[in-house]
Amino acid sequence: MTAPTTPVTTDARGGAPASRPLTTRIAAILRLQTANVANILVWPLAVLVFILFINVAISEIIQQATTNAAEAGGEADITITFNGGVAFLYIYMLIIAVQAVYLSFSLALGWGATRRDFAVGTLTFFVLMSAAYALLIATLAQVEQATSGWGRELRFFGDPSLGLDEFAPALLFSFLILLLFMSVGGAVASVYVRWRATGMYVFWAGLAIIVVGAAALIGYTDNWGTVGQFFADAGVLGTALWTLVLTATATLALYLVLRWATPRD
Amino acid sequence: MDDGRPIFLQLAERIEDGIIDGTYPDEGQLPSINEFAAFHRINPATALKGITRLVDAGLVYKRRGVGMFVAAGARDRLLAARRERFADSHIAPLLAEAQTLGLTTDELIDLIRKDTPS
Amino acid sequence: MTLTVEAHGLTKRYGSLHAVNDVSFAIPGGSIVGLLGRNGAGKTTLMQLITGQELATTGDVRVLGENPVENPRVMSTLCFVKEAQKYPEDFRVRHVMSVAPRFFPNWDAEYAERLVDEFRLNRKQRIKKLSRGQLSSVGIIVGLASRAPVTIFDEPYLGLDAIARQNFYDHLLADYSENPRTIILSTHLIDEVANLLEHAIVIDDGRIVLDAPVDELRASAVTVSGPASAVDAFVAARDVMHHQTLGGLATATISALSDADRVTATAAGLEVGPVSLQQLIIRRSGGWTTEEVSA
Repeated sequence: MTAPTTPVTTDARGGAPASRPLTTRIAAILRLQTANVANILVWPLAVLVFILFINVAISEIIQQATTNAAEAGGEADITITFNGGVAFLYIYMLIIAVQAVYLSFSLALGWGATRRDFAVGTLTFFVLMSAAYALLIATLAQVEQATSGWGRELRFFGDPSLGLDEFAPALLFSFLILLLFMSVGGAVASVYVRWRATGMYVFWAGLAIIVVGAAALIGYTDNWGTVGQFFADAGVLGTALWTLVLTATATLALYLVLRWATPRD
Repeated sequence: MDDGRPIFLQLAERIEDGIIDGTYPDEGQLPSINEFAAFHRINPATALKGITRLVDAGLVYKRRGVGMFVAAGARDRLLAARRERFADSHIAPLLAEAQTLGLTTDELIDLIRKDTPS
Repeated sequence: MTLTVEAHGLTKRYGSLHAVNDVSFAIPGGSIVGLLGRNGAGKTTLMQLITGQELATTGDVRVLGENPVENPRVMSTLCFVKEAQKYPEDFRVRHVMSVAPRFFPNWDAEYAERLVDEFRLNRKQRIKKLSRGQLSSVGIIVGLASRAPVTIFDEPYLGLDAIARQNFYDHLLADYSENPRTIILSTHLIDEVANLLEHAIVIDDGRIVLDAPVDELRASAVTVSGPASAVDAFVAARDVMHHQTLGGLATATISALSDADRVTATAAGLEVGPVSLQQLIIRRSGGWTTEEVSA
């Protein structure tokens, strides 16, 4: 019968125990971010399938209509159209990123994660999610190509006019854009976590000033042509690669902003 | 359990009561500190303090790895001590209350006689 | 005995507000400590400083001898159960139970599952749809099953009824007995937890007004009550903390009595009783009043 005085995992000196490996700590954050499979996988896929289904149905109706028109003596003009439905995923992932930072930061810190663990783990989560969904989009772009646009010449996942119906370009493009959306979402959420509403006002006001200022500057110096030329020269993939600058900025911002943030709730 | 004195003292006294009334016979094993703590809903450190008091008084002894036991002769020693304190702890308040109620000492003795099972 | 948490001149300022003001204390390892005080006294800020959530303006805080801020060694020994914890989007009870083990090296999954049943939680229930009391239960389960060497509960029982609270206290004691660790319990239900605590730290207006073993505190005062004249005569030469009369009767709170004094008091027809820890704290800490003590 002894007094209950021995701490459980502290070392013999009663000091802090040896540190758990960084990988274990990052894995814990990843588990936190991915535990709810419904939210990060089931729902987006279900909505995606639903949108695709609606699109196929609509294109069926249009096709019927144009065929009827042709039979009536009009022009039958069946064209390959890219409808950009996949952009839904970009927006959805942005929201996931916002939630991943805003709703999990306080819990993770209460459960003994450091801010650094949380930031690195969450950014890893962004990369893995972007890679997984890019892989899905690129694969479905291939299916789309093989089935002649779901039998309806419908292009939902890959735009052939931009060369994004091929696997590798589709994979790279989707990955870069998804990562951009997630990092920006995460960065904005981190500003909210640290500075709350005030942070949001300052952030959006600042962003507006920068965008309007840049547009004014380009217009004033009559450089819109140059800007257009830049994107034309860079091409779709080139432009996508240039977003890495933005992505890197957002990622760095997220890390630095969270580094000394205090969970309020 | 609470009469304004430290909880560990009250626990020690409770255990003493148990030894006197035979709940914990000489050489009998006592519940563990944790059991006392859980039962009385008190901090285990407080329970430990109460028991330690009994150990220090030689009424209880520890057998390493087994538990705590009532020392031989503990009951007799407690009885002797309590008898010694009886006048102070019971007679004095009794007399005080009797005085408040206007009972004379003779009346009090009669009452005691009447209520004493023969 | 090793010190789990130490603070020296710890201060946290928000603008001109001193949420925690030049606070120093030391919490011995493996004890249940009550962090007591009114709402807004600075309890939560102090806990945030201890758990590295908040950065000190000046002074320092050490947990297991080290600064907790961004210190993975210290942080992995902590579990901070917050009063109004947010959970990830659409999290269900089972998600919490499946993620927590990754954060707490000592997590006891079997115990956690047993607690989920005992607190009558539905594993499939969304956290968002839980009642206040059920949400508190989730936090309590995480705090207990984490077995974290330093576990901190901030008002953990909000919305829980008396039976559920008693259930929590029983589990806390039983599990603490089996797995000793440092537990800091922030609460304003002082009397409910009084017997569980080994040590009490009372904070008011950002400052520590009382820091003492509970046993010592309780032993430091008693109440004597009875006929006003008898009470007055008895306490005449003593340090009276509080005095109250009702008709011809009076109750006085005074410093602790020796055994002989007790006998004298009883002989004088007075009743000697305990002072509740809450009353005592109010008296000793310059009279902060608990206008609301409801859970």
